[in-house]
Amino acid sequence: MTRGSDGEKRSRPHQPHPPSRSNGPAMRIVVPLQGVVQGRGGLVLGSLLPCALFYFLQLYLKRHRSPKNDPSASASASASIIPRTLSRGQLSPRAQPPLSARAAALARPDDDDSLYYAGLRRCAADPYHPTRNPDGVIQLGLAENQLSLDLVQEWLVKNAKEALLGEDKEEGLNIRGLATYQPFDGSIDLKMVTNAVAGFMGQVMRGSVSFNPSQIVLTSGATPAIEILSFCLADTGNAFLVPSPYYPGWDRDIKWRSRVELVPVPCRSTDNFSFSIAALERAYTQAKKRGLKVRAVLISNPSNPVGNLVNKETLYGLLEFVTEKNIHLISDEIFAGSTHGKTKFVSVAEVLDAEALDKSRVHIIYGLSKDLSLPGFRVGVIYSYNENVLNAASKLARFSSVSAPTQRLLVSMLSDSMFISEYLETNRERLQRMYRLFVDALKQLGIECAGSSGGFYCWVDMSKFIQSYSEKGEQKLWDKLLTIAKVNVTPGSSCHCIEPGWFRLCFTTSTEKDIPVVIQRIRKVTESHRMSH
Amino acid sequence: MTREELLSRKASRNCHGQDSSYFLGWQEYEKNPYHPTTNPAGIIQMGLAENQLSFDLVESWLEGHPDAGELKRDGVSVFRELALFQDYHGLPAFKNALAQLMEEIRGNEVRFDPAKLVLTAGATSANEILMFCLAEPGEAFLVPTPYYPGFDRDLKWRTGVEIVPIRCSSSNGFKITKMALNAAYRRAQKHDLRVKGVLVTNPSNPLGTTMSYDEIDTLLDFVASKDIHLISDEIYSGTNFGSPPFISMAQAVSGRANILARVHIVVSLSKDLGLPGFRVGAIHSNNESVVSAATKMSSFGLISSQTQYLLSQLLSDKAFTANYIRENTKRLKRRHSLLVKGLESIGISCLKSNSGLFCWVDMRHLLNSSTFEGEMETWKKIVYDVGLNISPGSSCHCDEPGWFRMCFANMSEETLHVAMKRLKEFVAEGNGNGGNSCGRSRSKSETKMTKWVLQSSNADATNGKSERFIINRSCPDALSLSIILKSYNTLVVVTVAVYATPSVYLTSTICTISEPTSSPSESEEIKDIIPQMIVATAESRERRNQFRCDRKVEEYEHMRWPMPTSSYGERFRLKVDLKEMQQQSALETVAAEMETKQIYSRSADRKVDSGSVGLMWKWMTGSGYHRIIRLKHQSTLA
Repeated sequence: MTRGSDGEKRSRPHQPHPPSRSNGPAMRIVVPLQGVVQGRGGLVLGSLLPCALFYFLQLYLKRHRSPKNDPSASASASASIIPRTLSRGQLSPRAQPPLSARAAALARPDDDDSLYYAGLRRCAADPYHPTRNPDGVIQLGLAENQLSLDLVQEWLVKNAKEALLGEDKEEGLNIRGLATYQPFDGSIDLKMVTNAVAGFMGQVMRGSVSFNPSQIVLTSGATPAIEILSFCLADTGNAFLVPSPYYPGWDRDIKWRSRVELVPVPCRSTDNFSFSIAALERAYTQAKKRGLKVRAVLISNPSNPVGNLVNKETLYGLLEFVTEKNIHLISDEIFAGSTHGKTKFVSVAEVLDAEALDKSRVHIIYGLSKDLSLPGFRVGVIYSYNENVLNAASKLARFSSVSAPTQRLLVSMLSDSMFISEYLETNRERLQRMYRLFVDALKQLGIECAGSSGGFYCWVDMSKFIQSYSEKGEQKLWDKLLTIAKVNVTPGSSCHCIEPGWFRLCFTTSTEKDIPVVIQRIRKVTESHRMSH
Repeated sequence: MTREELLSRKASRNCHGQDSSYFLGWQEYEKNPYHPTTNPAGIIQMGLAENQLSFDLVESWLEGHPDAGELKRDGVSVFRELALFQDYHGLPAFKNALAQLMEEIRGNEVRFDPAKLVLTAGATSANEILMFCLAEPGEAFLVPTPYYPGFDRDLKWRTGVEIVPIRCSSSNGFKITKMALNAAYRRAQKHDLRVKGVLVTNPSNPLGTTMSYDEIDTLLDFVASKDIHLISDEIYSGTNFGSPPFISMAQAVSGRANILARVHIVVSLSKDLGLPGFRVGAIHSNNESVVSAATKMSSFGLISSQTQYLLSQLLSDKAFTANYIRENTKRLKRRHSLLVKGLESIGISCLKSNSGLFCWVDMRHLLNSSTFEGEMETWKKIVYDVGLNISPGSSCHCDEPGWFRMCFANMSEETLHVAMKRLKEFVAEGNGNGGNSCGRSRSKSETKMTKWVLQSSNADATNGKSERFIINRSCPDALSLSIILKSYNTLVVVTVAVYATPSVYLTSTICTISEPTSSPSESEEIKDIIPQMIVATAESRERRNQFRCDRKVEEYEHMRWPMPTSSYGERFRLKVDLKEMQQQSALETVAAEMETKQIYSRSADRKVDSGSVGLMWKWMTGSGYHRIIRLKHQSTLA
């Protein structure tokens, strides 16, 4: 969920480095010479000569080594080629005491993590702009919503000052209230914020559920929310079952520090990538056989990256499943308010309300990054029915607390229910319109999307454009899209999709005017594929 | 499977340390908070290190610069860029401004490179991230005592890292010594903990003191020799209101290229700018790998873009920051002297300090017994009866009972006066008046005192004007006893380490006795000796455990402190007053105290010598050594 503009970082050259290319002939010289000379009995010559030759070759190469690539050169280099890895010695000079294994893995140059992040970095280094940088990379890989920013901005222009300093209010909420220590899981007035957030969540669900403010723990974004839940629910080495394809960031957010394993439960295009209880059952048994202790099922609903919704029946089945296995259920519902289809979104909270089920194993992740388009404000929510989890999470939230001025602003904004309902409605309409435009445009290219009714993206089938029906073929197409078409998309492989050729394309980072540009660019790749066949 | 088992160990176990008295006091305060008009009998919060003295400066700036709060630049809204901004490298303008502020606070003598800065949601998060980066679960960091109670939670909970205390003592003003460092290192090794670094707070929380060049040198030498990391938590750097001036680790390390990459500095705006609610902390490190890993980890605690923008505007106003730093330290200084003088007037002294938002207060003389139980008792009285929430030393892992942290910057001056008044009444009532520190009352109480003699082996009288008897916790496994004799102006310390060889009980006895002296230079000297002795005692014991043989004589040769007045094998006796203790109960108390050390309690064989000797404890250690300490009633000494 977070990204870094690593453009300014000194990136290692991605090109195959010169010595290895020229080493081939060198070896060929050395070996026959050895044979010839040794055959005549010149043991000394046989070893000296090749050695000397090799030495001079090295010297030559060293002097003629190409200078370090400039960023643009490295950007154009193919990321699918295996990058040169640094030796341990280079990473930390011997004089330095070692870091933890966790940090050593993270400190490695960025080129070894998933294509999802690689694409984001490339995009950040050369972002498209219709006038300023028309040849830049178009961002279709980042699930952020720019369609309705104007609404929030408008509200802020009107209300920010009052919201922040509260000069008009009787109690005189001033800097004193903002600056001092807050309870770490909440704010100025903890209840004020959780009430506002709970109210907002209820509005997002269109009144079908009411959320209890005391079950809310605030975190600085959904990223720490999911990490904190992982810390609470699982010990190192335990596992979560995750229907795949799933959000690529989870591999970072959950595995890095809490060291919880993610076991993908593969879903297929024939089911429109919906998961089934039978598949969960199979994955559970297999995980057990591998000696893994499964502690929870983690789903995203609306699903990221597919955008489909989990229906009521499946939710019932899921709840039965987790109850039977005595494990937890984490439902990531950060796109709950960003639906664009006719199907109504059903929160797991709604199902829980209706049924007399054991609620204490259910935890919901929410945030304002998607539904209010405010990722920069870093507001995430853990909504749990388990008191112990709430206790632990609220203590852990001190490592990821939301800054008080931001909370203050949000209380005002979220409590303005007129604004919120207008916003949600308008935003849905805009999403819907953009989605239709995008899907129709892709159709013109002969590209089909999986059925979806939520989220900022289409889950696109481009399998007919890949040369070999494999992950490698998919990566090649991704690379072409990035370097030739200059659009950054998320390949299915980084979402752990088992069918190659699927891509996630976000349509909310572009404007309507951008759509023809995007289509034209993608056409470059699809046409060239047709030509070659 | 029960539900509890369903949660992770981290969530279900009570290892977050949030149940210590530090947090207990907070809870009490929240139930009944003081308010000058609405609740004048409530508890005054003196446990919160928060700076409210200079809010007006920030406030007036905000009023003068409404654009910053409204997310505008030159009247035009910058909301669009901020709403979507979630780059974990942070807003460049903010990072630059923060780096410059940190340089300014450090007298512009160091350079903070924004590229080496990692932004985190508060220093709490910064410290945790460094732990994640530098140590594996089960590895250890050395932290000098007393330390900030929150560390037990912040550093250990999720990371699984252990804290090994570096035991510092009041005798040298809680300074970090080479021996204390080495002792801590060895203790960690003994417990099979790999030491990955040292974490210090400078200026110290809870002491309010800054580290001297000598101390820093000692520390840096140690870090270099052991090949480990150093985290310097400098979140109080901006509160340095008195001399000597604060020396940043960044400054001290600049000449040492060999350890440049292993020193990591934590800064924050919570104390320096009094804005803890903004949750802004940062790590500054010369280690590229650490910066890179920490930057990625900071995604679990990013600062909201709106806050970053607001602060970038505030901090890049140089006139504001310069004025703030000057004015803030001035106000802190005034407030600090108010508290120190107030305490002095009621016979309570503080550790001399030059920074921080608190004083480290010596109330040892107010304890009923010089134990941590005694400290708790007094603390509870102060919280419930007096109505002041202060932090007891035990929550900071202080090794000596009777020290308390009192914060002075989170309240108005009037409230501070109320607090002083309350404390004065408390002291005047004689509540919790255990040992006496004032010479006036001593002569009076002396007649009432039961005279006890701490004796090991035969008597060889040495009369010291004794007053207090504590079992020194500085080296809990060394079974050393220190008897602190406090006469009018002079602190005289007698440390008795009782050893035994396998053959003869108590023949190997070390004793250092300093006669009460009125010469200040001499007493300074004595003060310097104590920690050395304590550490050496601990060391010698550790060494012996390692070799498991009777090396008593050789050990003496290794000990470097001034030669004890009673030499090896000689017998000695000390006179100890255990005031207000009945014969039997006094001994029970001491016995209980001994048993808390646990090391010997398992095989403790306690028996009463009903003859002329008071009571005798006999400890049998694993290695077969015996230790005996006898307490005798004076009447039995002929």
